[in-house]
Amino acid sequence: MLAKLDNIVKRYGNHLALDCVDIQISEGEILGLLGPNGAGKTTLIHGMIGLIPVDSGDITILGKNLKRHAQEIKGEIGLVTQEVTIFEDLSAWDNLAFFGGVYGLRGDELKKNIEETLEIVGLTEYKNKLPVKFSGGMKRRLNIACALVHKPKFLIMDEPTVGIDAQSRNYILEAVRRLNAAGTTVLYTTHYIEEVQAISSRVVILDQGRVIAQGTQKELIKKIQHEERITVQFVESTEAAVEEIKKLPGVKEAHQQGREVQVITEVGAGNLEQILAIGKKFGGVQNVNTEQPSLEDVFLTLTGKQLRDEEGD
Amino acid sequence: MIFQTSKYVLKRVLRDFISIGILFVTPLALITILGLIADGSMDELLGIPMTDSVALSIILAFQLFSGFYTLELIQQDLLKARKWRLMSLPVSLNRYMYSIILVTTTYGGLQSFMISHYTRIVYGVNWGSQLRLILGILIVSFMIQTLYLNIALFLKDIKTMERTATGIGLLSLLLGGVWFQLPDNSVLNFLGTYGNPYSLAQNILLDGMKAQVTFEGLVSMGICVLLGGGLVLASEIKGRKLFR
Repeated sequence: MLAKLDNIVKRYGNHLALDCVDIQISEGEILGLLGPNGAGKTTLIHGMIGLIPVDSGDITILGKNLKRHAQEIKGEIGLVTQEVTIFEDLSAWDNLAFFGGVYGLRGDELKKNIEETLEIVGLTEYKNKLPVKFSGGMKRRLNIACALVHKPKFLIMDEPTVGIDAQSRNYILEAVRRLNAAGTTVLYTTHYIEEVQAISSRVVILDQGRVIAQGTQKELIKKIQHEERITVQFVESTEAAVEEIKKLPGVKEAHQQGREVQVITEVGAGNLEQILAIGKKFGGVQNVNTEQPSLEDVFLTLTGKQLRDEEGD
Repeated sequence: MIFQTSKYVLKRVLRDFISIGILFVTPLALITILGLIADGSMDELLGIPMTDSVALSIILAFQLFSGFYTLELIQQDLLKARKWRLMSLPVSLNRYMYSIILVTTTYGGLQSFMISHYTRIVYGVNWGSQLRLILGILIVSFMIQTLYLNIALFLKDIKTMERTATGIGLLSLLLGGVWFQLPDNSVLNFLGTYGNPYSLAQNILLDGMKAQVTFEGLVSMGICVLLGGGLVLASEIKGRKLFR
């Protein structure tokens, strides 16, 4: 176990920002922390590495208790902040040299780490340029590099892709995968579901300061999957076919819209073949599509709201 | 850690061309113009030639406002979003604060020293012993930077910080009699001699210019050192609360 958060509570006056949060992070995993803006993700991150005091609960990282070994723990982690916090008046190289130096790197080791880190984030050819001239995506990449230069065991990324183009986002996600493959444990917070789906080995869903679900993506989907949806497009429009489908065992509903019929069945009803047979009987099937619930559906079911509803809060 | 980070703070300060324009180029330009206007008469109050008096006033006035280097750096690094990044590092942020003070004290002092050299070459201003001049400038610079550090740490919003810092600078110039002489009474006389950074700095440098050691000069130096030390202590305590 790389990190263990036990019953963490944080209040701001009457507002309960973190409500008895329990999270465990295993070594070598990418844990996606998913939640809308204002869910408490940043508060949780700041609390778990001692940037803000929590009101109660225990935090253990790398086998050390945060209260007693905060400085030692900080030496082993890298924090990618939500806002870009690089020095825009220092070159990319100097930014990394600053942070590397503070982590105690010197001489050849520092130089080697800087070169490797610039390579990871794809900024080698811009090493002597001032970030003030960088694009938003390049600044984000340098922001990540500053947290990587000392080769942390545990990388915490707080919404690292906010406000950047798709190309830079993909570059960052690929870099996270490569870092993880090289042994770095990653806590990745975001409100973009597709990012969590793309890289996380496990997911924690946080809403209003509470962990409402955690597990692998499959486990989470299983939690809410009570029905399956099958969409069938017939060659000809026929009400008789719909009526026959409705009579099949396990079929809850069937709606017709022109030549398209949407069938809702119980999980594991296994009647796709029967539906296709009915289709064949009534002039043939042009197209068939089965829908699985997504992480977005999990979030919607568990919280009653869309993640993107809250974007820009 | 202080020296390790200082070189990057210095690089940033050296790239701040707007501040260099305001705090280095402007006083040079002002001294050049006012030096041409000043005749060979004596400043009776200070007991030095008018050209020397103009050079001293302008250097000290701009030295007062060099505290904005510290204010700006503390704001950028420790009071905005970057503070979370720096707080996540395995070092005390108080040490980082002092690396800023080390750089701004030296840099602000160096700027004043360079301007003083310019006045010596162009107008023949007599600054006395170079060692005393450097020491005096550094003591004054240290006191001013620590004062602005505390303004940044103790006040909550940025506008209030900037207004307070500007207010202290202007009040010091007023009490120091830069624009006009204040009425002759014991309170204003005291404030005009020891009660503001400008007058304290003037007392220290004037002794060097006149190659003398006066009670006023020694007391002023003592106040500057004690005040600077007290302000460092205050910033250490406040910093521990803010960046624990």
